[in-house]
Amino acid sequence: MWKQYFKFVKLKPGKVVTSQFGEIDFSADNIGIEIIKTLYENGFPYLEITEEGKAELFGGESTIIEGNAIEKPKRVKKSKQTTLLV
Amino acid sequence: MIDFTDIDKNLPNGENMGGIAQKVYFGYHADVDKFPTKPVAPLTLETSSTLTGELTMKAGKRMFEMYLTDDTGEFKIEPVGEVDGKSFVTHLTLFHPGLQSKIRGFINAAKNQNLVFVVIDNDGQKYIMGDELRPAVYAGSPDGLGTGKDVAARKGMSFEFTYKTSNIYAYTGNIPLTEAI
Repeated sequence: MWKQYFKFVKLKPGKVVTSQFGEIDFSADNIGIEIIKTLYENGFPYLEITEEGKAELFGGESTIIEGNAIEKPKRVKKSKQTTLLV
Repeated sequence: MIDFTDIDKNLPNGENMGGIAQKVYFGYHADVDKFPTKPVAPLTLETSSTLTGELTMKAGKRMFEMYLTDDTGEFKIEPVGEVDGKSFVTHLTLFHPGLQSKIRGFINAAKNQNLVFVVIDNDGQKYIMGDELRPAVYAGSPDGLGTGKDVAARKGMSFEFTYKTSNIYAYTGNIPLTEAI
């Protein structure tokens, strides 16, 4: 499920000892989306969000800056016109 | 100079458990692509003692985990040097049970190599042994390697690894246990 919204990058799918949640096996499909989302929001360097993830989880906007660092996405009102920044 | 500040008790959630976790993480120093960076001109005590960034491995390389018997692992910081030349030697000691093929192979391969370790204490704080300039190395086996003398003896391998560092830093990043692409 989480793989619809995020891509595991820079490593082969497998285990990482994360600073927030301990060891996680990213080859598994059943990791909770809240865990993945929290990792992503806190700059976990091995996750990239997909277009579907941006639309579904962040209302269409998410900004990735300077390689690994990830700016916390902002929620945007649907009525306003927005630009996707990648 | 770094600004001093008041230092209170500061034990988050009252936690201050001794010892290290039952796993340590190791790899070859030569397989590391990038080490987290030391603070540059830090202004506060907190920022002067924490590394920034990630430990990343070269393509096809990864960190590995090693089990240790509970209450046998220790991360110890030894101050060394003369006046105006103080620094630290960090010591990781642990005991791995048994004399099986993997641990025999490990000591065969690691005993004369430059290594890197990540040690996690029982409160979750991480320490890296190794940086761009200096590796961790095998320093000996304080409690021996072998069968023990009697049936109640502890059979297995003890290890001590050391790493020389100018300052003590915590690591706040992640540990990749799968190969870098």
